[in-house]
Amino acid sequence: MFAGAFGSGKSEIAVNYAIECAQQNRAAVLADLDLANPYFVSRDTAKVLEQNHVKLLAPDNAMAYGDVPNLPPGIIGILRQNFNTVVDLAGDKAGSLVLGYLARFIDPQQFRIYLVINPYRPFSWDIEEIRDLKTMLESYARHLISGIISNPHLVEATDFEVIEQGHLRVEYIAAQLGVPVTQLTVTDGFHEQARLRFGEMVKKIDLYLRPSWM
Amino acid sequence: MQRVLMKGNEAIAEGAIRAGCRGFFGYPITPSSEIAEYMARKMPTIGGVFVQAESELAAINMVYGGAATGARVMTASSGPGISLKQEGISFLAEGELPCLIVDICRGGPGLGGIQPSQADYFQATRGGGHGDYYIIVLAPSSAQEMMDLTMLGFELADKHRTPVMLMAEGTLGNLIEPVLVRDEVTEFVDKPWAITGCLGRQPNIVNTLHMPVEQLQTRNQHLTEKYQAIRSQEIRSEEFLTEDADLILVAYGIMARIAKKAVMNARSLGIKTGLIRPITLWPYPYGVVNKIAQTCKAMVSIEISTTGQMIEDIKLATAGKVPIHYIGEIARTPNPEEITQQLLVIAAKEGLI
Repeated sequence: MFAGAFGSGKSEIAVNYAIECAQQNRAAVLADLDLANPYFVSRDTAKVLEQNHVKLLAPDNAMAYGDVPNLPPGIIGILRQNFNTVVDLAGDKAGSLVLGYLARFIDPQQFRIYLVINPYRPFSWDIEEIRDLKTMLESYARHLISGIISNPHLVEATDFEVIEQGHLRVEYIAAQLGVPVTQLTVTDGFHEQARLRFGEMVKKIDLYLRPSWM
Repeated sequence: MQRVLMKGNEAIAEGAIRAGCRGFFGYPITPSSEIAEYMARKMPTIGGVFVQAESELAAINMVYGGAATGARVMTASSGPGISLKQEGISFLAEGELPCLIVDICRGGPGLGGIQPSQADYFQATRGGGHGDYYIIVLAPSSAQEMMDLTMLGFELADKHRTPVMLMAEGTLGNLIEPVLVRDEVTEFVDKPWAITGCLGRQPNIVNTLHMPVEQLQTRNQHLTEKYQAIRSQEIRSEEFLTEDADLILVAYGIMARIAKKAVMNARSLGIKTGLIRPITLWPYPYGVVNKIAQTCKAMVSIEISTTGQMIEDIKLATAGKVPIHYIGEIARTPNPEEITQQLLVIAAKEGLI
């Protein structure tokens, strides 16, 4: 389950992770539970997911365009089966409510929650804000966060220094919170350099949600 | 940290705070809600006021009250909410109360949907409410401009004692981009008319009721002269490759950015294309559009609207000089390639290829 402040990059990471699962021949389901609003959500990538044999579970028909709490039917059944289910939650409190509802249906042994942090987002440079978010997520989920995914970037204005400084900030926040940073996600252009600097934890991601005209 | 990654809506809220806005009154509605959320989080920490009003009507009337005290105040909503606010906006215009009103547009009419739209253009640029008035309308095209034009909006509002509207599509409100955070505004114009307690002076009164014929005529004459002054001072627009262009696209907001890419695509296919981007939708850059109509062969209005709204201003500006075409649909942001395909059809029709 990918959680975090809204705009932290959860959806891009969830789509990448689901595609990777499928490529390793592990049956993968991506549940898009971002119900806050329908702008830039992982269900927009339906075509790519289908090509990569990822099953998409998302609000459908008219509900796909809504901004009301509407969970796709079938989510609970999916969570109880032996799939690699990737859940893309909405940001902040809206996502936590969904998380709180679904947590009871997930086998605690199999349950992993990752907190995605982009420190360049408003409020995300601040350790107390992240601590509050972590506390909220964990109390709703009744489960501890397994790790932090560091996703430092400024989209088109990213350079390596942005990644480096941002990641060091995430490392610092994570150390204060006592949670390991499990991954540093970067786009293709920075992969080599980041790998030399930060090693095995670096993960290359492709951007699927960014509009083509950017 | 100077550079942050912001949603357009967040950039508006932060820009407003940096422009000295200390009062936000609103009623949340998708796709504008992040503005209220950001304000709710930040205003209490900086000595500002955030009120989630009981209705859109209440919110706009709180703006009226706040602005009357001379404070920089604002509200934000989307089409259905902006419609509800129209009575208040008319009162703000007549009371000459500076304030910022943000419309993050969704598709209408009625409740419509929550996907992007530019179909509030008529409402925004023709005053929107009853009576003889206009408000300044600014149309940003990036998250950076959401911040910058918000700050400019407060400045223009104070300078001309008028409500200013910032109008953007839902897409831009939710698009995340890097933003260079601007310095705080520290200098403000005096507002000797404001209701601040009348210690040592005659009371100031903000009132919009003018029963005697002569009084109402004087007021409307005064407003008319003010709108003329705004027309002569505040028109803003951008031109892109217009000088040698046969085909001119006219687009604003996020569509201007997409249209710019379509201009490059069309040029690579041999069609001399250019772009006019109105930044102020009122006052509209009639002069610029008219000037370019003298040298181009055809124009195309590109809007996120099915009927086409800005196209009427292009027709007014060009007075029949060149044929005007239209590309537009509601509820989605087309990509540059789709627009290029439609431009090819238009160019063929006009004999440009």
